[in-house]
Amino acid sequence: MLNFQLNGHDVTADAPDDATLLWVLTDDLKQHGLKFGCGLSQCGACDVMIDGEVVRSCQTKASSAGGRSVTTLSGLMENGKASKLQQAFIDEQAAQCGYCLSGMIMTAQALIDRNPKPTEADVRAALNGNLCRCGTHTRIIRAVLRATE
Amino acid sequence: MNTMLKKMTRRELLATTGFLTLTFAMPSNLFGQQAPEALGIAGGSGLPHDLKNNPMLSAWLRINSDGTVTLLIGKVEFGQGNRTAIGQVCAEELDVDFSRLQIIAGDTKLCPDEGVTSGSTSMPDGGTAVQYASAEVRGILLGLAAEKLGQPAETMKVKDGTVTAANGKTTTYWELVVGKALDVNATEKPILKDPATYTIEGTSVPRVDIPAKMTGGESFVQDMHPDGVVYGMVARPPNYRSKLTSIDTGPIEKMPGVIKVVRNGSFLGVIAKTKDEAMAASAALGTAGKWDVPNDMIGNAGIYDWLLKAPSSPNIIHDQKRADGAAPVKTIEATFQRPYVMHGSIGTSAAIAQLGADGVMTIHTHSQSVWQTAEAIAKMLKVDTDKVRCIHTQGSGCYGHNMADDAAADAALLAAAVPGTTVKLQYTRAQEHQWEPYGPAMVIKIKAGVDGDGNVLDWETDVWSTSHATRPGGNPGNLLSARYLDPPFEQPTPKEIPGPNFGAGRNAIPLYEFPGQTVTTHFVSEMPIRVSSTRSLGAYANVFALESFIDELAHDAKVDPLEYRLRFLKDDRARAVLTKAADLFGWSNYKRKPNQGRGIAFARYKNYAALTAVAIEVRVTPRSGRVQVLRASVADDSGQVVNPNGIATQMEGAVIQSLSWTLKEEVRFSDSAILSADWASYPIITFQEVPSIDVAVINQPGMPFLGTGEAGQGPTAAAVTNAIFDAAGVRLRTLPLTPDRVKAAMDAKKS
Amino acid sequence: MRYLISALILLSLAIVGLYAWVDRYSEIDAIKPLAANAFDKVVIDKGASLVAIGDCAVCHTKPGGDSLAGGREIRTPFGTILSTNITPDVDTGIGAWSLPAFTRALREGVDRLGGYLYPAFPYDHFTKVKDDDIAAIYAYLMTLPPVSAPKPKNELPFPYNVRVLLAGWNFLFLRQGAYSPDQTRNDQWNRGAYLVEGIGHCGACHTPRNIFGAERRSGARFAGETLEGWHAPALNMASPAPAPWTADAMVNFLLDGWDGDHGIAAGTMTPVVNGLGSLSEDDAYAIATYILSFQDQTNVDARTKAAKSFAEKVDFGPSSPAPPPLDAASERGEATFARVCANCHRAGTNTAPLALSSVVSGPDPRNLIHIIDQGIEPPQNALDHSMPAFGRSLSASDLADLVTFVRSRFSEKPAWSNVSVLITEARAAEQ
Ligand code: FES
Ligand code: FES
Repeated sequence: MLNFQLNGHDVTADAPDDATLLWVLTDDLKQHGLKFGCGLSQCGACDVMIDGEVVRSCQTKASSAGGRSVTTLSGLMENGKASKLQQAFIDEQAAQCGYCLSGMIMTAQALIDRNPKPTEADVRAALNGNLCRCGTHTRIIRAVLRATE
Repeated sequence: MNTMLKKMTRRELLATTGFLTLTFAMPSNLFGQQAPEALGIAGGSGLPHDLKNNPMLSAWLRINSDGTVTLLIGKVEFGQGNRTAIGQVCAEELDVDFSRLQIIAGDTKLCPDEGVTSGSTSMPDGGTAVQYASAEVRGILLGLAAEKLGQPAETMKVKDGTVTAANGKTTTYWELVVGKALDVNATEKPILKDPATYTIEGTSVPRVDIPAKMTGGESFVQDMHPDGVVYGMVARPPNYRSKLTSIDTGPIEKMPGVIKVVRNGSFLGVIAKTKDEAMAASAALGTAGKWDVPNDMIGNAGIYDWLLKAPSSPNIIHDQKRADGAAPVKTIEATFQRPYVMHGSIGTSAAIAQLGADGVMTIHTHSQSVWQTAEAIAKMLKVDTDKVRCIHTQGSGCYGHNMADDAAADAALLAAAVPGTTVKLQYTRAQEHQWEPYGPAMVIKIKAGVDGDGNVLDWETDVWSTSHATRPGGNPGNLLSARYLDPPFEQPTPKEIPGPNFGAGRNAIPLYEFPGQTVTTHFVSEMPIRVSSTRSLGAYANVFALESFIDELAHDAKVDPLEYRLRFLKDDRARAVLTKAADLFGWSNYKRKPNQGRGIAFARYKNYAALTAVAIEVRVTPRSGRVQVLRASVADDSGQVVNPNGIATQMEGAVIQSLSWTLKEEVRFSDSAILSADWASYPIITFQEVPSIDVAVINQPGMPFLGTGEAGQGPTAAAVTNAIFDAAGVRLRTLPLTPDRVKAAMDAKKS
Repeated sequence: MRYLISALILLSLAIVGLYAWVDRYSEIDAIKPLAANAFDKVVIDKGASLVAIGDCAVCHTKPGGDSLAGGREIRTPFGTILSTNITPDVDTGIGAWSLPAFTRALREGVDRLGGYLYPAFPYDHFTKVKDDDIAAIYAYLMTLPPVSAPKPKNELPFPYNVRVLLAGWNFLFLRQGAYSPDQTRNDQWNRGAYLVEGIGHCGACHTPRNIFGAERRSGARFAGETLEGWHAPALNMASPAPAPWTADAMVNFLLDGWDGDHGIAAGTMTPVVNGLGSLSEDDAYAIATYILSFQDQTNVDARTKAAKSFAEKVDFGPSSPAPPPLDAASERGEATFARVCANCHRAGTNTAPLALSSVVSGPDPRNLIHIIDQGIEPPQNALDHSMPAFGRSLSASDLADLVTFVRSRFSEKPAWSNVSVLITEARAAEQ
């Protein structure tokens, strides 16, 4: 049994301590805003936040979340609406397939939290470990900058 | 304005003659690639071929009494935005607000069979079919309105489904459609709208699938978690031709959570309660067996020699004899090489399958070819085709034939072992990387005889390649796991797709008006490495070679590469695209900085589809050979524009992905294994390496939709190579253009 | 305690020197705002590259703040100092500063009004910059867009907040005056020395400081120092790099932030290499020549070969030999490494071998701890090299085991002894 906060609510997951956080969040807790891309910490598709810091949930044991606060993509929404950052991604139409986008947005949110006025170079550097195969990079950069204007 | 000089578009033709004599003949060939004639204006049957194949209008459109419209299509969304764009075409031609549409795509039970979503044909095939179907339905509705209101149909005006007669009386679509009004076949004579009146087509309607993707909604097959779902995994052999000789699955059956271990021949799979348990069990399964492992792969370094020596059948796809006989003053030749390249979807392929009590295997899949894959799976399972239903559900972008179909087949194989239970399968990264059908390695030799002014007199291209097309196509032998079953389904020997522009030969024929031209493909039917359709097929490598070589000729003739191209490019639209990209880039007032250079390239995809030109600026660091792409300017003419932002997005994606292929990617393998097993051993482009990109979308009102998705791959590769030449004076002819290669070329030039 | 003692010594020194110095610096008159065209473009550009080499923006920009508008916290053993606004804003920046006032700040560590600056601003290095280079830096800064950003107060406890003490510090440690070339050395070496000792101020991080916070001299120069929780490795004979630095490798590292035989710049070095990215290769080679003259340059080839063959031997990969026997902590660490790290840190990938990294072979585990916890943002010219953060994925004990394993597997140096304590410290500081 594992207790933690998920997007502001207390949750309990019936999963062993060494279960993979990604699968606990997607399969047990029905979260859609994180994806399995590699399972190797190489792509960032599975990024979520624990206590405000981005982690790769594919290589994080569920026990790391115990007693902490986990945020997934849907947890960024404000009153059921897209957050400013999410809306900027929608306004820029910053997706092709969109599979990488949840990790991109989580990572971008963490960047904005520590640096509310990032430069383009800051955005590129912060997102460098997140891979996109469709080539949506330039729009993603624009979306992050738009959200911080 | 002299209207006589203006070319008549097909809609103007319609407006003046009152009816249409167009053709959209040619059903898609085997692999969903469209023939040149499809865009022609004469002869054949008068229906767009997807509509001709599915002529019943109710198969496409339903007008619902609740004020919504259901659009059923066979072309599927995988990030290219076609769902939105095809919806725009429908809403425009039907005269309803876009928001009224509900779109169902790629369900083999519900939707019209439009074959494979590939070859940038969603708009030319799917879009055109929907355009015609929608226009015709509108006509039928107006007829019904005329009856109801007792007014002539010609005087009716429609706004968002509300029909108003000249006398001010109104009715709505939702009141008009009763019973089987749309259970009629399409005719050849719908009245299409005048493009000048478009309000939805030509605008950047936001994509319908994006909001959920940005806020954590359920969007992908990978996101689905039906109640009671269990998790399946497969364990692959050590390499392609390995055979399982023995295995004790007993210990694995006892692993935590394991529901079932499935063995059939050399196929191994496992079903478990949780994903972690399934992964652990499949990892154990992977090491438990004894295998007969042949070490007979070639190794990636030797692949080009192998291609040239392997048995192949030369096929002259283009032969144009030069009339006058003056001998060239010199002959220039070069050889270009392109390695195996991955689709490399960010999400590994997945599927969800369940064998129902009715004996129907229902599969949620992100396959591009739901109908043909369903057929292949049915044959693999030895059941009737109607016992397999594929429902397209979005997946991670695929860029061609990746593992999506294999995932569907594997999920079905596992689900068949646990009837009534829903099985979800998603591959590991290594399984996706090492087993997907790559874009094939190619060798291209070009030779040109030129006159004293550097003009090309004779041009010869020879292309060596293995197949570009091993999609399921209804044949289980094309499904990976089916080849390991007992008895195995043999993979069919691939054949070259006839016609000049389909597989390896795509874009091998120059569009430049050189008097003598011979183009030969050398099709190698052996496949030492698994290959299939990858974004743009042979066009990527052929355009890279052709447009690099044009640059070499321009350099040899001491002519600006843009000017040299324009010398031989007579088509107006081609010239316009090339000039537009150059203008956007600032070609004519370019100021060179040290170690920087520019390159330009052009192609008309398949020689008849979208026209695309790309200009690129690079900086080359001599110390490291590192190439930094600074910016790209792109011009694209995809015919009538439906969604300009959608086209721009596709172009940006094409440029970035092509840069990744061109600068970084090569599948590496030894005699016994694929070594490119993940993103660390097969790196792709990252944010730091992506240039800024400007895209100019050229609209051609009333002209046919040409499709966009693949048109940027080739020109980008050549533009960056040409820019490296401009910056560093070295000509690279083997991809990818890694720092080591660039540096070696620069060092060689110095000494 | 030792700082308090040093402060007392300093205080007595200050009293001694008080009459001599206190009134020595007077205010330099404010100037009128300069015309936009007051400077030549060529001079401004030269200034821009000097400002980049000098990494001025690193200290003079706070996270998320406007470039060079100050406000960044600089944590020193004496307390926290906040950097000043050096944009040409008249009220809060240097808009009212004349060139002589600016020159005095760089040369003597005194602001326009005559107040002492803290040596966290490395005027002990900048004093070596030539007049025309100072003028170029001035031209560049004065043509930036002015940003109004008042400087928050420093958080310095008594007695360090008594600025007059600095008169004594300067008396002891500041050697004023532009760099004068060493005639026994060639031009390249002298150019390197000028850049390193002057505007580049490499010693400010890489040279150990004495109890007064001044860089130690002679043998200790470039012997490595720890600051802001990171260890700036030794650049002298004590360099921990397993494969000896060569000029080519150092130039790669300085300009790209990456070299295949050394790995990637991280932590506080990342903004430094980003600033150096615009340095000319000639200057980069000059810097390398100068720095290498402090290092062991014997048997470079043989030592490189040995380091690489060790790296190959211990590389994590399918063909690597069975690891040597390990203690329990290393064994647990190895399991974590195999699960989390080996996906990228193994043979056949685009990472530099861990066994060639100073982070693993250095005397201090702090850099390794920070890197695993915080990840690595890529230097701007290293393109595709970066690393995700694992801080929230690993417990402190997982991390300790992992660090212990990495050291034992990938370095021939003795184990680090204080790993757990440093992890606790590092994580506390990161909060
Ligand atoms: S899925 Fe976690 S980083 Fe790729
Ligand atoms: S949008 Fe498809 S992977 Fe990024």
